[in-house]
Amino acid sequence: MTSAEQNKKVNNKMPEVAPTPKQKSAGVKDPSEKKPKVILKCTKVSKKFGLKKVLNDCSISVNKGEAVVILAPEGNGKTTLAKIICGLIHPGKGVVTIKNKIAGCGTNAMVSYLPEIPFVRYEGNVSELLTQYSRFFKDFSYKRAFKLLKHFKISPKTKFDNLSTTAVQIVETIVVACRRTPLYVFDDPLVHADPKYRDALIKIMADCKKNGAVIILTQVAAGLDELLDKAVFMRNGEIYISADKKSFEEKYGNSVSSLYKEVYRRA
Amino acid sequence: MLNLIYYDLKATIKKLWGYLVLICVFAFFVRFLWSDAFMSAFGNTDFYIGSIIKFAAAGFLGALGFLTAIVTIVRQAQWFDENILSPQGQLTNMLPVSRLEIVLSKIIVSLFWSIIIVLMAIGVASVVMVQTKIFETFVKAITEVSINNNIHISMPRLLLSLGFCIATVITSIVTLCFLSQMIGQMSNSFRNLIILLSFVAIFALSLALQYLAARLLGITVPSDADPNQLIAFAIASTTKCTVINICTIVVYWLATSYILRHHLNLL
Repeated sequence: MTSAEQNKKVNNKMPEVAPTPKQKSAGVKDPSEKKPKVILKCTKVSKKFGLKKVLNDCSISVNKGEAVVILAPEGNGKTTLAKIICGLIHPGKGVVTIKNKIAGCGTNAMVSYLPEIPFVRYEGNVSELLTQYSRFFKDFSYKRAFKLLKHFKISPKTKFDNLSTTAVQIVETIVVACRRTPLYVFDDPLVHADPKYRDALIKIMADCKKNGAVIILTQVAAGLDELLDKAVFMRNGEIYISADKKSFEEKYGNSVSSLYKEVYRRA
Repeated sequence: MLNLIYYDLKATIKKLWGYLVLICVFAFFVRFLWSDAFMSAFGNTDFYIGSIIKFAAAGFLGALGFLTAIVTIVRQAQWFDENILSPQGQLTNMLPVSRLEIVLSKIIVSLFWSIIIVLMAIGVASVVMVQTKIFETFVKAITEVSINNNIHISMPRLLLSLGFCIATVITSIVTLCFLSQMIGQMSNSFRNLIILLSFVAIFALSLALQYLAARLLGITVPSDADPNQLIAFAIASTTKCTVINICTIVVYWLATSYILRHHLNLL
């Protein structure tokens, strides 16, 4: 091997050095900093039902490993936004992309959605739902779902007719969270939740951050401060405040959940 | 696709098997009432009571058969609504399958049930009529028609072509129900009225178009035909009518899938 070749080999092996502050301000990027991977991008989404404007110019972007909590009382467009993100409703204006693909039936495999209203067949039982999920979704973990059901003391043979509202919500949250998808959308996951199960459900949703981006739309802010990375407050179908967790705490000196009442009291 | 068909079949079997078992059991009961063993229980003076009972039972069997066919159509339309347009639709429309496949699986299941209804009708008729004078008269009439009109008609061929034609007619009615429901769901108010109006309007339009298609294919009823010739004409036209029905089903399928993909209004 010639000396030039040897030098080339050594240079190729040399670790990349982080840029100095002067270099950074000049625009030199730190090679060790990973570029955040954008999973969901909503650009100026608007929706009208008849003459009523439900959403107006909503823009949100969520990266992989991030949990965004969208807060608003009832009737402010949260569920409509969730359905537009999942491709169940077409936006009147604007674009929604999931991993650069327009949201629709083509992105169903990339989205795990927990709707506000239960979607189960009440004539069936829990085991049938798990089997249905494992048949249709290759990324569904039957084992993990079974383990979580055992933790909540719900037998797979129980019929949905015989389960309480809380239990049905727990089962639905488990099946949605046991998929490995780039995007999880939870619409009001805690509205029927018994207080004693809230923390466990929040932990299940937090675990989803390992696989992808998590969006939680809720009117109940309590207990979500640890989980969230970004918070969005909606009012009358518009984004009222949107910032990451640090900015909230720096600007308002309060956690996101305690700001909830303040924001909507002022409004 | 096979998974979709499996679940659609499973759901509809649960709703319909009872009616089919009932009608089959009742057919054997009617056969017993029409036997000499039953009539011998009545003396010469009470003969008319036995006749009233057996004719009433036969009439009831016919009405039950007709109602079973109606119930089959209605139950499938109900399942379509439950599975796609109701809260369960939040899962169905998020499955990693295309909208074409979702609707096609329901059409395939509907064709399956239409064939079952036809087979059931043939079975019931066989149970009631075989080795009776009515059956012998029927076979004689078919033989006469085939000799007089110089066409070969065998019972199996007759049953197969007529049966499949009737099955496709029933399937096209069911598919039209699906299309009307999809048109109705686009509106937020007066949904049922719009469903009914669109069903009637599209049915009338498709009848007119089918008539034109029949004329183009040379299926025209001779104006001075006697009953024998009419029967021969009807039997000879079943294959062409089946083809027209299948084309109608395909058009309804594509229209339903298009609305499901682009104008789903899952609120």
